[in-house]
Amino acid sequence: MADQAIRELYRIDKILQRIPEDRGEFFAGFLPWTEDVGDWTRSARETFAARGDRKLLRTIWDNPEDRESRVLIDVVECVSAADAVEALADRLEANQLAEIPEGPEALGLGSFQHPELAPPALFYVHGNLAITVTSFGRKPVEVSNIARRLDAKLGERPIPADTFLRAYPMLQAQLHAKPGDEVVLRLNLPTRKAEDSYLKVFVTGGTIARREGKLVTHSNAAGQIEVEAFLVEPGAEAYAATSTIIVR
Amino acid sequence: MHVEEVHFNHDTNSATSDALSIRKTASGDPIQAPEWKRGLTAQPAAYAAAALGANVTIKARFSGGPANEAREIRAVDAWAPTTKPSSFLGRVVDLIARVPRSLAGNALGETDEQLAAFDGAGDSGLITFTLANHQLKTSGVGIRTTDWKWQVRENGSWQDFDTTQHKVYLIVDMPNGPWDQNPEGNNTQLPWTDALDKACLWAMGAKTQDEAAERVTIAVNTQPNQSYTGSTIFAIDTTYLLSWYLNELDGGKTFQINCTDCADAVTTFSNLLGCDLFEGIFYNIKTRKFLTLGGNPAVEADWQATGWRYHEICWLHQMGQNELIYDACVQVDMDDNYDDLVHVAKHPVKMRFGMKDHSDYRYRLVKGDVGATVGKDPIRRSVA
Repeated sequence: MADQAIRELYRIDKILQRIPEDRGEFFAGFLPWTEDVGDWTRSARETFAARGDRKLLRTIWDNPEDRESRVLIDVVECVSAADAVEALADRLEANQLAEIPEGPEALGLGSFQHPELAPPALFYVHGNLAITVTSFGRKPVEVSNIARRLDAKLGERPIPADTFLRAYPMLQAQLHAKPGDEVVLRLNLPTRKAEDSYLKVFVTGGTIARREGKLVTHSNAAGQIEVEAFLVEPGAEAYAATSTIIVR
Repeated sequence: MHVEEVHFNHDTNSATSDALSIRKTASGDPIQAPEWKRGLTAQPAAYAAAALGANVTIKARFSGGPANEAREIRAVDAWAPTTKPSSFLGRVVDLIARVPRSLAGNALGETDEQLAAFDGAGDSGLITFTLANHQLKTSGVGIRTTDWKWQVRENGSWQDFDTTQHKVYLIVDMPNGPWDQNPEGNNTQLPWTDALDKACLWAMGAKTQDEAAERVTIAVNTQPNQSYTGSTIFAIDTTYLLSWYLNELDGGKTFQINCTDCADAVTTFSNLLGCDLFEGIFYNIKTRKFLTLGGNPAVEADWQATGWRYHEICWLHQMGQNELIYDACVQVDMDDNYDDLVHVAKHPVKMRFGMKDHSDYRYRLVKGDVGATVGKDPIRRSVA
């Protein structure tokens, strides 16, 4: 966890308070695609294990027409939205600059950006992801457009496929739960996933997180939890599945 | 007769009479003896000069020898002149030809002569040879190539029967953390040859830890394809993404690093050569003008003053106001007038952190006498 001074400087607890209790988003394996980065060339893609069951997915994108223009995108996949906010704080703690101003208001749950004189970089949280988009080459690259595009893409509900093969039972969960109970979401993902495919889960009426390797949802209030899961692949319609859990 | 194997790291528990335990990168397997094996690509070996004792040994195995007989065998430098040139021109040519070999050529010297006993199939067991006239302790840091001509004594005269080629890294002393020498399992903290390639090139010729750390610091600061950003790029938590940094260094494109990345690089490459650096931070800094990473001292815009929440640098042995530091992220201005356009750039190399003396690093970098609180926990990040 980031130092207390960092938490206060960047009002991390305020960002934590913004995490909704009646909806959630969870992503696994998400990283940018070529079309998200202006059709630039991906020169590197790597995954690193990070502390606390986090995973760093790093890609570097090069402008094919200008070798001095590059963008580095780090996606830290965390176990929950709260953990992603902590990962954001860790990122800010590992930044030497005296102060990092807040980023564009509509970007993610909370965002920060390098001040004007520093090479452009944007840091933000979306669902369980802490994302950094950094101008990485010698020539400064405007990164806010890329950050916004990724943020919008994460929030979109893909168009589900209606073919039989892509509508198989991908998601299973118990039908009833008590308020406060954690319900395990069992995902049966296709064994042959395309490279760069990722899982996207929306929950309405509850929250979503990963605990001990399992996706769980819960709601403290009676009602209904709606779960929508998508396996999104480049160039193909998404696998989709839904489930409803009655909480009473 | 043939050479079948040559072993350099034949005792993985020691480096006093043989080579170090090394590996190529974090991925792949550790390099194991025999480093040279007939029909396979030769693997390099590495020696720590200060750790070596009086005798350095290798082991070799031979085939195709006379069944159930013994022969004297030795290896000699394949490039050693057999006769001295007599003419003046010949001596000049010989001298010129020696220059590149003195920098990159044979440091293993030659072997002593050993009696190899061959079995009924003409195979010898492993024979231990002691190196003679080697320069492993005196050459300084470098990457050397040895071509050995193997000879057998027949009827009183030495006959050539095979040749082998060996790449050898020379470092100052035993590598320090994050590197170690634990030969057990798939230890990714064994020295990487990919990192040795870089560190030995940067610090070529260095014979002391101070020289090695200085050269590494200057090299990290002056890599032409780097520029500065505030974000840490190559460290996650307590791990230094060295393989990624190496890829970027050799990738031919520009990329960015910050002070933590510089400190990681200097500590990791210097300690690979046997230095004893740690990384540590100090907080809340308003700087005087300094020369930015990769900056040109003659360009005024490259001299900047700024504020930092923290600055991470390398410390020799330990942290403290009177301890010695290395910093590859900046060059400080040694000119006493900070209001004019005259600057004297200096790489912070083994400078006292300090505040009182005008030669102190902190005095030269930090404006005023407040802030710059030294942190408490020096670290060395593991490599991945």
